[in-house]
Amino acid sequence: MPLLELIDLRTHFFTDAGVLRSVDGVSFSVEAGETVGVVGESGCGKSVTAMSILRLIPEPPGRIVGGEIRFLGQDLVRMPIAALRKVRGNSISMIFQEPMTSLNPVYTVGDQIIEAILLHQDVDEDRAREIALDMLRKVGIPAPEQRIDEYPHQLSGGMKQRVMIAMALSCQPKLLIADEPTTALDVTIQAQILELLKQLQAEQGMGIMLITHDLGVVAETTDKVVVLYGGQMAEVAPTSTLFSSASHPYTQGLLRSLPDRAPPGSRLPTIPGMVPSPLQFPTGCRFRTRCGQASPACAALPPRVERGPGHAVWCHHPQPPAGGAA
Amino acid sequence: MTEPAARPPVAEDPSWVDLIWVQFGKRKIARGALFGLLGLLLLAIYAPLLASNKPLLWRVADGPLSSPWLLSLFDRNFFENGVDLFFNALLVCVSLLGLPAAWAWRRAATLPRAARGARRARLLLGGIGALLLTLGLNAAAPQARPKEVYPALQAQLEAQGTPVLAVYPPLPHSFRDGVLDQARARPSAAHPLGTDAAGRDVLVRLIFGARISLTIGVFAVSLYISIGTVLGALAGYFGGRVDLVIQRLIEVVICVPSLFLILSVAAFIEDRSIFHIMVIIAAVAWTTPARLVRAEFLRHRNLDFVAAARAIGYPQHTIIFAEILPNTLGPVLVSATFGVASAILTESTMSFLGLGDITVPSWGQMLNAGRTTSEWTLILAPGFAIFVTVSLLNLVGDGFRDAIDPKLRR
Repeated sequence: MPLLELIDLRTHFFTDAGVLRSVDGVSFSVEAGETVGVVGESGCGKSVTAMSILRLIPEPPGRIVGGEIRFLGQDLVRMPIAALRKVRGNSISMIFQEPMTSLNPVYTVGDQIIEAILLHQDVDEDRAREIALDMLRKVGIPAPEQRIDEYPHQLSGGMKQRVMIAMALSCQPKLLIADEPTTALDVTIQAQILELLKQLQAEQGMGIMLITHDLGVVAETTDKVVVLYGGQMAEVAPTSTLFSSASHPYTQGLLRSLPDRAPPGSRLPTIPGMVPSPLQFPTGCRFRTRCGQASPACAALPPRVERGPGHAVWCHHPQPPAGGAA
Repeated sequence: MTEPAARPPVAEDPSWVDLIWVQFGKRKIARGALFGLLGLLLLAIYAPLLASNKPLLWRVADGPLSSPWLLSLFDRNFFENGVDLFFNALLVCVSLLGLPAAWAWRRAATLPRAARGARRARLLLGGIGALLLTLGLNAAAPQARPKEVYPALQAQLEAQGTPVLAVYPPLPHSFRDGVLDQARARPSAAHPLGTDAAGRDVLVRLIFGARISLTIGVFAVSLYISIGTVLGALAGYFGGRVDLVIQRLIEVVICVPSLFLILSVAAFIEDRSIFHIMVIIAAVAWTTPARLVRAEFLRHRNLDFVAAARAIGYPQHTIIFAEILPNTLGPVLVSATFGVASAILTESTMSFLGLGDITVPSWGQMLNAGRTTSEWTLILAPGFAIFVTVSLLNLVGDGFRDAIDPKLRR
């Protein structure tokens, strides 16, 4: 049984302008100890998928209209909110994109970690403080005895993200959802944070769902990649397979547009056009308006095509491997 | 990832509250006004020590030495009003515990931050506990003291040739009981501001009026800040239908001119006490903090730390009141300072128009009484007291408003 399994998840937003089908049939799974990368352009539904798992979608306007989220066999979509609160922060933790705003400015970092521990673990305050200090030490914060009593504004962005990680991991979650944890940080800090996550994963054996739009990060840290386009599945594959033999025209376009794959001096290839507004997604395959391979058949929903072990693509015209990639 | 270990322990960055405090201190006028307010508070607390017709020390011939003044502090027949009993309890607590508490508070500054907050919270709770204990003991104590009119008694005894030792406060007059044959006296050494139509000393009533005004201001504002904060928080956090209902409620209240609303409500209450007046003021004034808090909630509720708090599994009430609310309180506290000033003004207006509590020496009441006489001191004195108090509060409010504004940082 996988740790987390999304089955045909659909999260829609009901606005005055119309229904936004932000997530419309997303299915993938995360095993214990595995890192799954979720990639796609801005607005492809990565974050909404992540927020849906813990039911953090603002309701209204958002609502999970269909599908299942199976976590250790339990369906989180239909779980009562009181039971869900025991899952949140305890067996599933989340790290957000903006370390600058993800800590509450009025409490010391110690208070915030300690409160989270007290909420889920049956320990007294002194023990919680010890655990918090221990976590801060683990995430590489220097002089944790001193930092623990400081306020978020006294820490740098990288430090804050480390504190967030310490808080997220303080209850030893089974699954960590990291929503672009390094986007707001500079490159050297990015590398440190990713290294830290890997190391803590090895220690605690948790599954990680890493949301990113950085294919470099994906290549370095993930075991498996899920490619989303317009809230639908495009392709899922083991990381090495994806980089060697992507078959969805969109994935291929993404890989072609990596700077290190283009010959020096040439213009970087891009995917023509823009992601359509979620209000104006085309019927059938949502990528067809930008796809070089599109045919009239693409007006129907694309079928799931198995390409190999753990490698599937949702496309009417799956491309041969290495189509155009160097 | 190797960084220099342990920074020097003295280099503790100031917290937000420390920053505000430093900024406030740099504004000389505001700081002066705060000291002025502190003086006013001490005046209100120690009013009986300045003015009472009960002697501090009393001995008839070789009889036992007693202090009718001390006993009178808890005499519910003399201090009929809850406000006075509260301030008297405060007087006892501040006199006994004030200095040690202030010393302990300052000493806590040397502790590390976490321990300091806990220590100071304990001190605060201890102070409140002591105050409640004093009030409770007072309520439980038997009340059977004869009402002596000490100056008259003293004159009578001395006329009989009995030696009497009596030490009175500087102003040996009651704030409550007038001496009718001294009514409408001009200012003199005995009565620096003269007496009113009932023969009560104007200066004494002015001093006791500070108790009433400060109580009205602080309690009415605490009451409406609490109401407004809760409603504003709910409206801002939940939005949608909750917001719609609360917003319409706010609009209904603010579209009626508040003075007319206050006066018409007050006119329907018989035997108005100052607690009624506080509630009436609060009932129309809660809209301001409600709108402030709602706006702050709208700004904060979509920040990541709120999503993070939900992702950690906090229940909704914790997120609203423990996570978001503390972030929204800066502007609310500033508006509270101005609110105290305007509540005092409102009470004075009500009393001046004859819709206040006639049993307490409120400044507006005195203005109203003075209006019907030709004595200028009876009008000018309470008017000046209102003016000074309201100005001090507004200056302090200005200072805090500037201090929390990072653009005006000096």
